[in-house]
Amino acid sequence: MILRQDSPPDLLGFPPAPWVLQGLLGLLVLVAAPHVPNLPPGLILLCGTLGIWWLVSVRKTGRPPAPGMLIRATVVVAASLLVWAEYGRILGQNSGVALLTSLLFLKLLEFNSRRDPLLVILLCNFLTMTHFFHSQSIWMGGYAIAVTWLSIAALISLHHPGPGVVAILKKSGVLLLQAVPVMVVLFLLFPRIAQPLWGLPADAFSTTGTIGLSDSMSPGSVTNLIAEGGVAFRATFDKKPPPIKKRYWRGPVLWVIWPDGVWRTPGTPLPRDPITIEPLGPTWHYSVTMEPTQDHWLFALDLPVEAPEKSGLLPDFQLKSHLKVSTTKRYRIASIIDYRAGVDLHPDMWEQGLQLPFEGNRKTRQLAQKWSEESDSDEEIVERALELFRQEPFIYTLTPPLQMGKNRIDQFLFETRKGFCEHYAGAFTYLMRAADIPARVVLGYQGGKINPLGNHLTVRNADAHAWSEVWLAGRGWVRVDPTAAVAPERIERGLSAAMNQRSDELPFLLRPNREWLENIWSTWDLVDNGWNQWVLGFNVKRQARFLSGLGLGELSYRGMALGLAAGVGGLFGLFALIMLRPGLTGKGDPVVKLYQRLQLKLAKKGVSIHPNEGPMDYAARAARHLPQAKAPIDRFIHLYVALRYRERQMNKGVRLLKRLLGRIDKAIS
Amino acid sequence: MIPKPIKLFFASRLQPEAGPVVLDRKRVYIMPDRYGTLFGLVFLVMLLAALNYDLSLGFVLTFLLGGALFVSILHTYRNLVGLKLFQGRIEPVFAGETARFPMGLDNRTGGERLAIGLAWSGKNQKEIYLDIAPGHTPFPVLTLQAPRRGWLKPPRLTVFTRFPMGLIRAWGVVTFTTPCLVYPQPEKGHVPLPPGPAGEEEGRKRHPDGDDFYGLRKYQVGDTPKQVHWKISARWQGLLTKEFAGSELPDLQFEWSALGELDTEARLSRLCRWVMDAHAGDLNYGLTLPGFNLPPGRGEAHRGEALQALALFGLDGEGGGESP
Repeated sequence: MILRQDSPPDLLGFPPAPWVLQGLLGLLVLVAAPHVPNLPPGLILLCGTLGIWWLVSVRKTGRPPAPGMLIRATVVVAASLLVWAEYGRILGQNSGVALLTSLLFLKLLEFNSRRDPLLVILLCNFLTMTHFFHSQSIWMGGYAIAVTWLSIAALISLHHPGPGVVAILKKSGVLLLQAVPVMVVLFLLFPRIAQPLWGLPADAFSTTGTIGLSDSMSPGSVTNLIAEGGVAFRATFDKKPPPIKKRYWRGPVLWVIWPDGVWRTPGTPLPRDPITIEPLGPTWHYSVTMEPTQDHWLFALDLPVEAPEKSGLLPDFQLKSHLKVSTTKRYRIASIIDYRAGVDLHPDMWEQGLQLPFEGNRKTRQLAQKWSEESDSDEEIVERALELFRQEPFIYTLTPPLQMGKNRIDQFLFETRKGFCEHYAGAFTYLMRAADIPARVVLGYQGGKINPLGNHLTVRNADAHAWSEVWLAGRGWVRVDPTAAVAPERIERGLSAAMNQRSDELPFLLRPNREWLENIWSTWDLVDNGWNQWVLGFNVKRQARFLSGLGLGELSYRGMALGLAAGVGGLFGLFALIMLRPGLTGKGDPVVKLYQRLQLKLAKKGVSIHPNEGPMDYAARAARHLPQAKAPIDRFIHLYVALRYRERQMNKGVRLLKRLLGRIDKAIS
Repeated sequence: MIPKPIKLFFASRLQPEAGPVVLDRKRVYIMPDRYGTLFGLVFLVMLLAALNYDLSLGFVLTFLLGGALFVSILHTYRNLVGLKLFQGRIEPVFAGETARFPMGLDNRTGGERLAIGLAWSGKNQKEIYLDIAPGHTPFPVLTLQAPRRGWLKPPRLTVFTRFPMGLIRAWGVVTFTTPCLVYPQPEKGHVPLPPGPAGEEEGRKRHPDGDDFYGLRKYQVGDTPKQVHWKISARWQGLLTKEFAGSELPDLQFEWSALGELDTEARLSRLCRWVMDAHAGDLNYGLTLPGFNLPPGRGEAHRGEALQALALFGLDGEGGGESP
């Protein structure tokens, strides 16, 4: 039975079908979209124009536009110039991404063979990864995976547009799902490195606006940070975390007040004296997972006793990382909460701790002078300042009135008396210096919330805080938090408690009395923390710990390579076993098997098939011998022939055959 | 250059085969094609970027993509393995025409096979693609130019697939034995049928108005449309007029020896034309070649016998056609 059939149409003709082309453009747009905020507007306009031109051409003619060499060259030059004008370079990180994005759109104008869409898709895959320079959140991860799914679908549609969009997306999904175990094995076992292979470009990671504490404090700077929201870092303690009012997370230390009233870190390095810390209590061990800040500060409980690797502990107990924290960073650290530190003050630090602008805030200075003359000790002066904040009608608010000019501390202390932690810390430090007590401002976070599900402590940007340190003879640097004098609940129960009366000033998530919201928050915070710990924070160390947890101990690179090969090979074998099992690839055609079972049954009744007998003749003979089963035998054979030689609805047919076989069995037994 | 075991290994694969060939796992090869290599390059660049920038999600994405390509090896392999190939019926052609080799692709034992490609082995051969539903046996046709008479052997055939991702190619190679018979090219132009046996020349006086078909001649002005032999005219270009004889015609005998003035191929070409014309005119004809004699007769089978003799004359079964 030989049928003649003419050659089927070429499945892989060029150009691909219009819907494939439109899908490709859609993919391109999706890949480029997250970069839009970072691209120069001219380039966005150019890419948009090219995209629309392409779409119109594909819709009208079914083919991509094919402009001449001159136009293409002009567009390439224009794109390069736009990149150059924006970044002043072509081959940096951001300029490179911009250039790559525009080249991808430029490729649309050069779409001549099967090679071109393939190149576009491969470049799309690469460009998807550059999104992680800006964000490695769960959302971005999900987006990137979705785009990858579409890109595989695009590859499939190029090679086989036949089965339609849904089937192609399904196939792509199957491939991606099967890739997940392979990815997990590779992710866990692929050797990580501690150092970059080569230097990062100068503009690496410097794209997004930084969120986090800055190294200066002006009125409103902490308030803005609170409005930003978001997680600053999470800490997991080896044992129970310290009580909330002891949770001061130390950040930048501000020594210098500029004439404009802004507190800043010192311009010149502090003298490198031996740091003396005398512990008066237990040492707390914990690990911190920090969100990227694009800055050098690391946060630790006041006071950190040692620096994590690749960072340093400065003489004023600040932790500074050698590299900017550009991706989620994880470090282990130890702190002591009760301490005596810096009892011997270096003369330079003494001087630095008393520095004040030449003029301004006369009333404040006079008040400090008065205290200084009336008091017997520095402790008494500190106490009188705190007394001032407690006794006078000071108000703790996120929306203080604006203070201007050189006398803003005077304004704050004697007129408005409304402020946030930065106002209190700034004014207090000013007062101390005016009273000849060395003092400095410390920025950081205070508090943090324990996630009951994950048992870690989450510190949000809303926990940002500022306080003072004064140097007292015999006691060294002592932390004084003037905010505690004004709003003790801020220190004891957190910002939302302190803001109870004015909860509409707070970011939505921080408003009190929202239990259900709390639960959602706890769950989400747990997921986010897991993401940070296991996905983003999976570095050399974590990998080593994971491997030793598996009982593999310290694996050499060779051992890892072997493990990698074994893992991936094992998965491949497993998939091969499942996918290539006999029912799918050969031997077991269910229709043939059922026909053989029918032959067996009929043979038992004395009707064996002759070697040269076809199914129709055999059935006719069997029906003559077994007339009681004629009807089901006839139907069986018709269906069998149809399934074998004409083929339709395989599964349904097999089910029907089985049922008929049962009826034949009943009829002849 | 190539080690002997490898040569032997391939040689055994390249032996022509007659029967159906199942592309089992010994016969299916799989390799990334050049786009797969390019993909590998992109994969490496992505991996380096993830390493250098310490992008955890970069690793996730890179390995996911690499993993997809990795498992697609199995999909591609499964798409091809177990496919049964055999040759369909090959119709003879005349030299200068295109031979058609139908290839049966029997998918009784697998799932849906998508974008299966077929092409003669070698560079820049035309590729055809088709989908094969489970249980189906399509017969795609591969074509080949037939420049010379004789047996035209099918060249080596490559069956391949790049489905699903298009970056990995699985293929199998088969050389089938059944050739295509190529008849000589029939002579073109005005070629009257030869006269009957010499001794009966007088008896074969023509009677243009008789009932019995006698032969064909070139159209002359004045012939009625009814007299034109439209079927043959359409085939040989230029109008031919039927000539009729009053008495029954004797059998024609086409003699190789009667065409002494022509060379071998031209004689075969002329004889071929005569056979075609005589067949079209439903005449009795015989053919005599050195070492071959076909007594007069008519019908499809008779024509086939005559044409095959002409096609293979002097070739002694060694096959005249060559693979391109």
